[in-house]
Amino acid sequence: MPTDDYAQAAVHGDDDAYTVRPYAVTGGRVASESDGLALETLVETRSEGKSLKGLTPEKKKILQLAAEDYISVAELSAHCKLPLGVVRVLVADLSENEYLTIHATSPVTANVEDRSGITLSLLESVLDGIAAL
Amino acid sequence: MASQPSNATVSDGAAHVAPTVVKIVIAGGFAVGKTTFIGSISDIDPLNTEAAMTEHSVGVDDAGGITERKTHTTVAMDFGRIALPGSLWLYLFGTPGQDRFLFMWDDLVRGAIGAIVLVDTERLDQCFPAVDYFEGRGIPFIVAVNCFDGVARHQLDDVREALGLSEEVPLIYTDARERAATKQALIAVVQLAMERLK
Repeated sequence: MPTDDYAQAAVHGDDDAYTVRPYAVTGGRVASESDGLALETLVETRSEGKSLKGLTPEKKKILQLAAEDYISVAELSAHCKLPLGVVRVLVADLSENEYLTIHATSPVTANVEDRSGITLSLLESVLDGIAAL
Repeated sequence: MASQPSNATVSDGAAHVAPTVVKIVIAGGFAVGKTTFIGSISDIDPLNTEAAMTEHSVGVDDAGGITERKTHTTVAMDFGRIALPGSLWLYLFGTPGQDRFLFMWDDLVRGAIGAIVLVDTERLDQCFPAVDYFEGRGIPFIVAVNCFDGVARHQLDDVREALGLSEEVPLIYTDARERAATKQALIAVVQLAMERLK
């Protein structure tokens, strides 16, 4: 919800966290397919060696971060110091133009109440993993 | 998007599968220790998605000493990440500390295994919004009483009564600073989610 992120930043006077208005960064675009990106959705820069010429500094930064390892949308937002809504739009854009891959590997569903992706075997693995920490 | 690129071979495909991602939400009132909790067990230093906020703590001052205990809070949320065996990444997302950010919770909670509501017994009322939220949506959650000074001042039964929690909601003590304690809280919420599925 980029509108909310931006409104929140404006209301609480955090404008100095961003050097430019968030929607200048996204080229005025708002979320569309990017709505489907969860905070924990992992992305990865494609390795084909596409030219970064013409990309904004924000997009280059995202591609650089996502080239090192899988990284979540939330981490990109934190490292780039950009609101989540803005990062979602940028990631969706980069994916559309085949600069990066979005990995839909988390059991995320459209509704908060829908828990169909969370299976017993998945939970068993998580439990064993935490217990071994 | 779920399919692998067609040029990926079988052999390098195995090494190139993205981790499976799961998350647990850490909720609770302002300055209750959510970020400390996350930091005690996260592989990475807790990150946050927005700038630090250093004002607005005056309004909650009447309980005494709160602002001294926490010098800043964040306008969005803090989170951490734990790599588990089997290419599993567990994210811990802290909810925004104040009620006025409730609109963000659906985003945080969607797809979560469950939630831990951290409670400061000196300010029990601060966790009501979180308890109401998770109850209303059927999200598995536990309530963990954070013992700030290593001393449990209240009996758990009293806390359960004060919060109006049903017997089905696990209620435990924790210490947000102690990895062993936060680990037990995480285990408790995963076990609860498993029981719900059985």
